[in-house]
Amino acid sequence: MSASDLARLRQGAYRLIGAGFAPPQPDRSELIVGSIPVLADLGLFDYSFSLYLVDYARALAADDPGELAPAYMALFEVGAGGAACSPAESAWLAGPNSSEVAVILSDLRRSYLRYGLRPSDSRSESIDHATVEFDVMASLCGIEAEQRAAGRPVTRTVGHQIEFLDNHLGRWLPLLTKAVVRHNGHPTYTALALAAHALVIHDQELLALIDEQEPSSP
Amino acid sequence: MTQILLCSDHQTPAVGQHVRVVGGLCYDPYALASLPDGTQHLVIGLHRDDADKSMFQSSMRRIGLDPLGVGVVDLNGITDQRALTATLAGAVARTEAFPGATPEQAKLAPGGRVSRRGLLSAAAPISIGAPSIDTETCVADQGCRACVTACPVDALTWNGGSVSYDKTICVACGICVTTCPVGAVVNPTVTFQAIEAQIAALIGAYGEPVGIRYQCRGAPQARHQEGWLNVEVPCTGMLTAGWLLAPPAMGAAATDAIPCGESGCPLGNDDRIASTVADARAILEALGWDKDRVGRDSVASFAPQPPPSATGGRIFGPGMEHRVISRLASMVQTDSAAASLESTPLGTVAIDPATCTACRMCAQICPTDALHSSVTDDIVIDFDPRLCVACGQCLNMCPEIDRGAITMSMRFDLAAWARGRMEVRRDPVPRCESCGKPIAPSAMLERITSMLGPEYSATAALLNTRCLDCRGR
Repeated sequence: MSASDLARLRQGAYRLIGAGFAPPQPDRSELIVGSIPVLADLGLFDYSFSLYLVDYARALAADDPGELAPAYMALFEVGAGGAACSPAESAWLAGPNSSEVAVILSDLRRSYLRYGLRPSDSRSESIDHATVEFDVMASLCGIEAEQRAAGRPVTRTVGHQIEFLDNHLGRWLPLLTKAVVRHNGHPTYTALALAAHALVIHDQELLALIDEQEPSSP
Repeated sequence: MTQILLCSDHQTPAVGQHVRVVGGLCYDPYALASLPDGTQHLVIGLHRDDADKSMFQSSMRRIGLDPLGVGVVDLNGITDQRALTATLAGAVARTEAFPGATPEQAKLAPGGRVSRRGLLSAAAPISIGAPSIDTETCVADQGCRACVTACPVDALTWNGGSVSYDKTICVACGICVTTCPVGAVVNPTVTFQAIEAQIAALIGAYGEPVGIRYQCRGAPQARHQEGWLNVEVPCTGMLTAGWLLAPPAMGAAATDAIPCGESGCPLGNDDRIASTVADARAILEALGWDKDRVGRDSVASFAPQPPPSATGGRIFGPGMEHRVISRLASMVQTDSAAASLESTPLGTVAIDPATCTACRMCAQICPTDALHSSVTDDIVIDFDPRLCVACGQCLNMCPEIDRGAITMSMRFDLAAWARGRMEVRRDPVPRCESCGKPIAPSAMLERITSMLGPEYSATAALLNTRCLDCRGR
């Protein structure tokens, strides 16, 4: 497998998880389940997070689409005093002071601009929603894949990925995962949270090794 | 159900399991396309020591199994049926005891035989088991930092009440697992339960007296030798005297430890291994066993002999040294043996009443409750040598350590174990003349009085007669 393929695989994995955190739709579920063989061709099973990704896809495939939407709502959107497990960074890293939410969102906006990314106007999610943050990682992996395929340097892009995981996704996702597992609301979403956690943990380690080979900072 | 897959070169063993021969498995891991329904565990027997680990792991994940829980054994060089059967039985037992791994317990390592630099250009990285810390069980909040001190690569850091772990530095040697006094550090690929299950199965299936050799995961190739069976560990530096003595206590004829290379342990654990072996031999000798049942150089020189009959009961686990030695002693029916040790986690604590101020900090920090204190009219500190794991936290915490208030020696003494918990310090606690509440240990008051000197005699008098609440009145 080439380094470019690995970046493509990671791009696909992040995209898949990001889609999982979006409100459920039958088409989307089919797309997620159908993407596993594509990722397998890119070498998915070479990596330990594959087990969790397949578990999630299997749970999703076995689900009754009619049941998934209420489960999503109950877990991620509504509940007494707010969502039981809000899939948004500010819900986990901001304190009771609303200005802290603003700081997080502003920091994210600056990061996205620095990475050359801009959330699509058609997206309804907040910029700190798991779907968006996983999509950001997917986009950065996609940029890396193109750079590698073209023989261009990737150090800056890899650095952005490390920074984003360390400062954002990697900081709050473990908290969300614990909450989802503890809540034990729906097997598909428990599998999704575990898959997301496994991917991020694996990627942090993988990026550290890549960075050791190709240092992203002087 | 546990499925055993063998490359076709091997004779099918009669181990009472579901055995299938898969032609060319050693060369083509993807021949492992599916497993029968109901398969929960898998053991693969190969005859190549250079099989592509990365491809094997990938093929296992493809069929839905976590490679960390699959037993892969190198059967290269095993020619007799009995050793083959026992080796597979051991692998089955260890595999069935696999507790499952969390994402945190999988660590990336270079795949195949390439350097770390080959990560992106050659074989995909493989997963190896890495430790995680169960914060519910960990007693770092009591001051314990045994794992931090033992880690040879500084992957564990003390944060004043908790331990943080850096997986990118960790080499997964397993030393923290065997050092933790309470079993809070867990590596799913080398648990106490799995190792005990494997050794018991090896001994049981072999049928005749057999030697058990712990072999470093990094060793280039298992040297199969008649009369010996291998148990793979991440690093032989993780072994304690208890681990070396457990096989004889379970009925094995002998134990050995095979480090990973001619040039010694790359983690610098050679001295540690040598001292562990020396301790194990000293313990055997003190108990009246033949000390040559344990030793790194014993492979060639020592022919395994039948042990005295073994008794049952679980022995692997935190603080296992006491259980192993007690069992070895009972097997030769001795109750009076003692020996000084170099590094084995068996401690004997002594407190000097002339310098100890009875502050009880030693008892409060003790992670295993070997030192324990109670307060009635007197402060009493007692000590149970059967629980002491020589972690040294009592020494670190003692404010009077420079005056020799507490000392610890590494030794075992069956007579002391038989006596059990004994009082090691008693000090009266004067009561407040005003309200009757306890003030402080008299030794502590004396120490403070002497430090204050005669010019503060009025303060000292108040200190000795009034409790903290009544001093200002």
